[in-house]
Amino acid sequence: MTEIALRGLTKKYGDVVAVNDLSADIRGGKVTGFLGPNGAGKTTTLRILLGLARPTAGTATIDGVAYRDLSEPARRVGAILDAGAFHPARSGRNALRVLATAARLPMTRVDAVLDAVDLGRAAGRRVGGYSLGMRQRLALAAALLGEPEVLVLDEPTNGLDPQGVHWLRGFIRSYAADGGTVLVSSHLLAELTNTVDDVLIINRGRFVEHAPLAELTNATTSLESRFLELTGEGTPS
Amino acid sequence: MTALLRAELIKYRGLRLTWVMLTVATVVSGGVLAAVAIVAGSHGSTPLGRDDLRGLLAVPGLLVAGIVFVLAVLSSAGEYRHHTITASLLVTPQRARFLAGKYAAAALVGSAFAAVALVASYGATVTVVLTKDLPVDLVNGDAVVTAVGLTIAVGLFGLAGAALGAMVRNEALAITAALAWWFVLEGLIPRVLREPGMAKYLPAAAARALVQAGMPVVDGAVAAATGGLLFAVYVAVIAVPAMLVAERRDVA
Repeated sequence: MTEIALRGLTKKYGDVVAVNDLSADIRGGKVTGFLGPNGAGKTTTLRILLGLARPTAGTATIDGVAYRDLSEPARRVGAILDAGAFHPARSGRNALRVLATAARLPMTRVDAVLDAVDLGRAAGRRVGGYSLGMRQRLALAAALLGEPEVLVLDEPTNGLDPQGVHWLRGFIRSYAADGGTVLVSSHLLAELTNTVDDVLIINRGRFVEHAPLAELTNATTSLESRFLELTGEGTPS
Repeated sequence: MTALLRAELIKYRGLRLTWVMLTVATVVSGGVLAAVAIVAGSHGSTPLGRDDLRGLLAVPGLLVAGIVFVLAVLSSAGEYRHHTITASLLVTPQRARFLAGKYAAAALVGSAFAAVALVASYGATVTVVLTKDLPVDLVNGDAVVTAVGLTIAVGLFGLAGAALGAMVRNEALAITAALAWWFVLEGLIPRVLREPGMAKYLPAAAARALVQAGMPVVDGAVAAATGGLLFAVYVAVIAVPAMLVAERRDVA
């Protein structure tokens, strides 16, 4: 099962340290929730992991290999980073055909993933006319094109309706049950409680906690309480 | 590489803008040629002669090149405007390879636009020549050279647009910079440097020489082959650094 390793990961923008000496091992075949307050460095970490930003120091690897060095990245890793990242004048199907062609994937995968996220009937419409939830599902379809071993999801429930959130939760659980590795960042702590096996918490770019969910929470302590306590953001009323 | 080229061509085909611009290039090319052929010899203009097909075909060349340049800039810088660069680089994390595919597609699309525009131009010319019984030779070897030069030139304009868009990452800025160079800076530089002889070796002059392939070389211009070579070098001066910069830049 594919593992993700962060080693001394540091990213500076001038004097601002976005990620500071972050190390963690994300277990294969598990769902890991990646938590932190706004500006904690979660998205920067994910962008470094996916080769979109260069670390100032340290490494981020997938089974020991940097994303840029993966031979067929779409078949190894699927990612949602920005649900709005589609050309508004293209149809959903066209957007996926572009990605499938570049990744040398069979075109049958395009309709398969469109059906999987229930966008089959809207596939011919321009993305500019999609709701945020539809764009989010299109982004998920793009992530699933290559039937990857790893999913990296940044706020994947943004814009999804309750049915969509329910579907995504079930999908992530079954994906991990089949051996897939999922790293998911979200602000919806209650939602993550129903989805994740492990929790990785960072704050101000620094490592705070990485443990199985069961060790962080119990009958009287929720994930939200633990998160607020660990990040020093106060306790819930 | 073939997969990346095909993916980029799907991007072009999937946008209505591509077809609108192709239609504009075709209609304008045919229309301009028809107008030029019709008014030639009247209102004090020179009548068309036997060898004028090559000159006629070259007339809309720079206009088509401009359309292709803008389309290529939009294709390249638009990746950043619409944030599609993220998905593109997730599939192809080797950025130089990604850009090489983009360059190849832009050059191919440019050449295709040129070919379609040439067909429209030739069709309009033939129609007017036959209708007005003009003495223009419609099967002319020099005109073929003009067509080849124009096709190569427009392909290079496509490549240049894709490269400038990738370098600047802002559609309006890239197009404004190109217009400023074409209409202002290229004329200023030889004057500021007091080297009028250098004007014919600058990018716009080199591109014009390539578009005029098959026609007699005029004073103050280089030969078409020299112009083509120079223009290719100028395009490479943008394209190669754009690849190197892309490898190092973070994608926001």
